[in-house]
Amino acid sequence: MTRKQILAMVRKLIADEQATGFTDGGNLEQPEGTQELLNYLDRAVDEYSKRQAAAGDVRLMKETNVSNNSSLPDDFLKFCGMIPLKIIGKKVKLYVGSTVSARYLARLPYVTSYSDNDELPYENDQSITVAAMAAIYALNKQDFNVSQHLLLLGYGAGENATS
Amino acid sequence: MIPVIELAKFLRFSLGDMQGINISDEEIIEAINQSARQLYERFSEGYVYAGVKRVPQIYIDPDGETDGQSIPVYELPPDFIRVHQITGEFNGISSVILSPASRSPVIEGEYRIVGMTLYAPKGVYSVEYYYHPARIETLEDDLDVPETMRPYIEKIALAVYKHETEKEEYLIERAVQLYSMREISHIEDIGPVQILGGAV
Repeated sequence: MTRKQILAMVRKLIADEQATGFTDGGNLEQPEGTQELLNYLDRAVDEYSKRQAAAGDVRLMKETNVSNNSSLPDDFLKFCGMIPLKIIGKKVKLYVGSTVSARYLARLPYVTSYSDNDELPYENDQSITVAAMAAIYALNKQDFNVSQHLLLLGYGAGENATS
Repeated sequence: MIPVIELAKFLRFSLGDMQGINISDEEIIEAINQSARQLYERFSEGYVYAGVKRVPQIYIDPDGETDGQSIPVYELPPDFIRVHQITGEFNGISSVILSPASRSPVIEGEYRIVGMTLYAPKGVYSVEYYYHPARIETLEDDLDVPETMRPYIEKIALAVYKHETEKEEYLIERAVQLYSMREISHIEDIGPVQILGGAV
């Protein structure tokens, strides 16, 4: 799925295919319209990754060699098990040696790091969920009640939901 | 020698983490290292032959020139814990057991260890010592213990990982008992009886 396609999917979910609510354009200085939707997609990627990491989704697993005094990878969420090192800020201090091999759970890459026609490196189910979450953020911004959407995603109830 | 990867597989299976998402390789390696270390420490304390390594044919000549074959003193290997026995050849009699001496210089039939250095008079010796298996670093390594130890290393490592100190102690104790019973050779040997003044 390309970035264009996931944006189209979000627009469909929020019934804004005509781009009247979230107009085309926008940029990081003026994050409105499409840029606002992209920001919601990034936020969805972030939240989705954290939830999947907490649930132990092995598809987020990556392997790396961590060297002493290096910085953690940008997409780092948490190590798989204990690794003999200390993290101070974002810097790594090893107990012994200069490198250690480690597995970690990584955040999915942000949607904004791709251009319109780039293929996003997500599985189909990941794209669908990320798009659905981005749509919830967009709808919430417009004061819609999103509790039912959250329930359908299996992400618990909003405060307006009836149990 | 036991391939570490096989021990790791056992531990990961027992801990329910074949995938390696909750437990790192480093944790597994640390548990195996600790279990081997502790088991062999106790073998040395309990005079269990399973924990003995033999270095045959050391040519010591304190006054001689270093000719590539003889050495003035013997530097003990890094895996050394304690001496089991040192034998030498004297007056045509082989395998004479040497006695430890506390003073210097040592005379024929004696040896002395200071730090990690073994002093002995000129002669040919063989050293048997209690060792601790070399630390493993990666899953591709082999653990320097015999295959027969595998069940104990596995279970002790599991107890180490789970911080089950009592279970760990129990397993080590059982291994020490079992392996001391399996050995017949120690009956002939005076071994610790030397402490009471046993004759050589």
